[in-house]
Amino acid sequence: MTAPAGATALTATAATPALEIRDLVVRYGSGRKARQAPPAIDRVSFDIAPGETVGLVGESGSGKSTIGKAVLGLQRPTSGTVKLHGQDITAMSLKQRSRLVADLRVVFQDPYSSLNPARTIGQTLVEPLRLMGIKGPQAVEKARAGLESVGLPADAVDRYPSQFSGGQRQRIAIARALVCEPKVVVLDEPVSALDLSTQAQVLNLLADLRDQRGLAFLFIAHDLGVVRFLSQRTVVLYRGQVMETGPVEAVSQAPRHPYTVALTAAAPVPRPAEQRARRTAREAAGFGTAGAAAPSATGCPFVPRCPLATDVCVTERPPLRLVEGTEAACHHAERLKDLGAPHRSQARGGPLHRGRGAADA
Amino acid sequence: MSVIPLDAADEVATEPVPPARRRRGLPGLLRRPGGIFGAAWLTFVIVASLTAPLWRPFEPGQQDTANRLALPSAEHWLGTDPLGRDLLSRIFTAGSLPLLSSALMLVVAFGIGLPLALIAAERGRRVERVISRVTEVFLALPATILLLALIGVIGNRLYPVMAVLGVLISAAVYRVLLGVAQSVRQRLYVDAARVNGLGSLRVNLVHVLPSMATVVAVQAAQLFGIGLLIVAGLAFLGFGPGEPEPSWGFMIQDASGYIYTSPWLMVPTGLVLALTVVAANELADALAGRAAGARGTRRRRRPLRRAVAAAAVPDGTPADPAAVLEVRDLTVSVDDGPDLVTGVSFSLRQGQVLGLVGESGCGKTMTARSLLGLLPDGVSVTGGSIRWQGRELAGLPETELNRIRGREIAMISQEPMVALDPMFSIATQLVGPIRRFREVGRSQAKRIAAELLRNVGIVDAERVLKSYPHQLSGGMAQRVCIALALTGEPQLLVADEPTTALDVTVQAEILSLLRALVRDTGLSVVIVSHDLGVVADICDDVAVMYAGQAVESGTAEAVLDAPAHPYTMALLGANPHVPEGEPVPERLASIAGTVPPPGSWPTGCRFATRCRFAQEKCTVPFPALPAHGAGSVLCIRVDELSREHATWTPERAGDEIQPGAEVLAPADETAPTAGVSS
Repeated sequence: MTAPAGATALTATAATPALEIRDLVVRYGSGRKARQAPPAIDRVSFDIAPGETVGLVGESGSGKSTIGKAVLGLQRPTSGTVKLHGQDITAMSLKQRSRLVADLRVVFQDPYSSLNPARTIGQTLVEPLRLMGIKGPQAVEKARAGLESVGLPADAVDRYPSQFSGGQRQRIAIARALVCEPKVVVLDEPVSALDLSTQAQVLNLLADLRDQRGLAFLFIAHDLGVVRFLSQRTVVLYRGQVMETGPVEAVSQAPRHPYTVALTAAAPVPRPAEQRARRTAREAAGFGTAGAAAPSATGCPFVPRCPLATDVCVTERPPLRLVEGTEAACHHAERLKDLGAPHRSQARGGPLHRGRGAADA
Repeated sequence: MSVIPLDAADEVATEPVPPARRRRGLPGLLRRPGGIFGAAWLTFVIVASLTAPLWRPFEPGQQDTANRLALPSAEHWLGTDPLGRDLLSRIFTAGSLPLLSSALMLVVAFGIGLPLALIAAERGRRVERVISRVTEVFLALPATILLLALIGVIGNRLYPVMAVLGVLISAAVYRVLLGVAQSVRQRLYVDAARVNGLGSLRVNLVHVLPSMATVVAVQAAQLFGIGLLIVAGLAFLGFGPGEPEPSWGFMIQDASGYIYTSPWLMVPTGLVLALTVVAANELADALAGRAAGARGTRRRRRPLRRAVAAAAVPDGTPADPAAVLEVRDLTVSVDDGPDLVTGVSFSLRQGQVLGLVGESGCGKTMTARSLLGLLPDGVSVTGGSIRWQGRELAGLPETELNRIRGREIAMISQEPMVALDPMFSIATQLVGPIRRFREVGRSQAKRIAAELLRNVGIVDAERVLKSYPHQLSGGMAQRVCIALALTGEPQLLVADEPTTALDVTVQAEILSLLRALVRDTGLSVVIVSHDLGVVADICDDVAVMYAGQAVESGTAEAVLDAPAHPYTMALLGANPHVPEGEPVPERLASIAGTVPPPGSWPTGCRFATRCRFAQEKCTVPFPALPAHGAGSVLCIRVDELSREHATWTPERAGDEIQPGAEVLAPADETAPTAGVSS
């Protein structure tokens, strides 16, 4: 793809997703052994509309961060396409991408390792601006404004990362991502290394910035509660495959895939009585122990832990299909009531429209 | 070749030194005696050798036949050689050759090794393999033979010879630096720079290289010393500058002929050479030690500052007669430093689970570890009492504590993979403590090990026993750690964030396992967690900790369902997990600012600076008030707040992006709690 970056603005219409991921496959390593192993990412597809936040949820090893890396060009996909505002960026080298630097940015999980300890905050913030041709006092001015926009004093430009707390560092990382006014930001577990109150600060900040600037977020997280707070839609991953996808309220309140049920039920809530009831329900559902057996290579990856699994689940990989408002990859989505999952008609509240989400369109 | 091991190099690299500290780092380096000596001697030798023609008292070839083999005198400070030549002049005239040729060797070795390491780390496995294979060939070449052959061809010209040696050594330099470069490249700021579209050269120069500086310096200092020895060795064998030109190696060789008649002749040259090599190594050690941090201070016990307050002291809350563990007014402090935990009290009955909850840096881990006397170096219990089954643990000597650890009180930690030794099978790691604690034979210990694994929910215990830690998943490893903690049949388990590193579905399984153990064996548990959901799931009682104090305690139901302290309210409001069926809030409650580090706690209520209900009266000290039945709350306004039905509501939208949402710490304050905060 050699179209100039400027063309994207012309071709992008309301119907063009900000980010479009189609049949993404990522395999690690090379050689016969690697080809036989299940891929890290297995035919994943989803879109993010301009101004929309899509939450990518999964546990460790689900491949959620790998998808983020593939989008950013830090990991070369084996097949599939990634399009930014309709422009295919899948095979672009990082060098070619430097023209897109303004459009696609990232905030990483670890606020301690994502800032170079030997560089001042100002140097860190100015770095992406250099490639946009903004230099000198003008760039420093933008860096100062960027810090103020995330609630930090502008004179922080002269300090080193070691002088900031975890939450403040994450604000700096957000300022670095936003300093060149991007349209799409990949948030790779931006709050999971933070304490609860700091996590709330950063989540509120992200929501504020999104609403103020109409940003599209690919929000990668392992905590469905956090995803529910920030996202309009969610994609649930397990072992590199999409298990369920749909409006975040539907997926978290009335999941249609056994894995989503397991994930939701396992997240503890800080209300003892409610937590006791949830625990009883979860233990009664009979999910298998994680890592107890190797997953089926041909069928559904959740088979070894799924209480609803039958022979067809082992032999045939279930396609994503529409089940009561969400898309679930499960042969037995209709039988989910047996697990004590709330039925959709009973669940209160439809998809919420927070922020300037594309869900409005 | 003595190069520092790879993993040590990695450790050095994982703690890059920011320039702010580097500026203050030089005095730090010089505070170590080895560092002072190394730097001073090397500077002296280099300056003295390079300027020798300007100050030497005699020409190096000038013979004083009247004073052959003289001892030190006012005329000849270091004596003379068999031809009556002044040793002082000769030593320092000879010095510039080994120093400069070693430096040349270094430049060549790093000039080749460093770029190769950076390229290999950047370009991925295929390129790395090619480069590594080539360097292995270089490593396999017999360097000595090669050098001697080279001398045979080009003659005694040490500069080209040392340059060739530099080429050979570059392979070893590459090996060490490759590991460092790879570990630095895994840091997220390198990824961030790549996403910023920075070119490869800039990424390496700006982001990778500075973090490798310490390892490069250590390696260089060490190789410099080796280079000196090689030059001297070659000269000793006669492959140096020929007579009458002085050289260290030849002077030593010369002296060895007079070792019985004039032993002094050996001393000045030998000493200068030895000291120079030692200085280079000392400098390397000091550099490495500085990067690894000032660890390794000896464990030192400070006597209890305050008299151990027995549980009988009337302090408002009478001691629970049924409690197995009774902690009263516990204070934990850094030696000669600030308090980390002050005045923490709680009690625990048999078969109950107590949660210590709070944010990082609030002292919950320190509190938990003090129960086993497992505090970090330089931190100790300095006040209060820890009564375990009627015995006082605070101030108990190490030997007595050792008898209690494992047998009565055991511990599981946050990182199961770190807690298990990767070198030994699970069976080996379980059998050892079982034999020690239960005094049984090997075969019976093996049976017990399998049984313990089954007790912690591992179905195929036999297979797990044979496996090594890396073959286990995180959840399985934590189960093994719990089994390990149960080997001594303890009655109290201290669990420090036992599920934080685990996936949420695995966390649920581990919590269920702990609950079953408590129910079936009557185990008591103190669990440290930052997750209020975990507390709600497993704890009977909870103590909420903030800035080294227990600000609220009581049963989990009472504290979580009807929080009385503003901090607890705020923590609950910050939790995004809303009750079933309720919509997600537009905003989460948050607490402005951060937890103040130990030593800068405000007087009075330590939460006052961040509390939205704080008033003038909150700034004076006050005692804890009873609350939640047997619990307590540390808030002077608790009654008013409860009358007003105060809640910690979220801020308005947009508040987080207001200028001044965050206030910076004073610029001179750099993480005073590093290494001791929980």
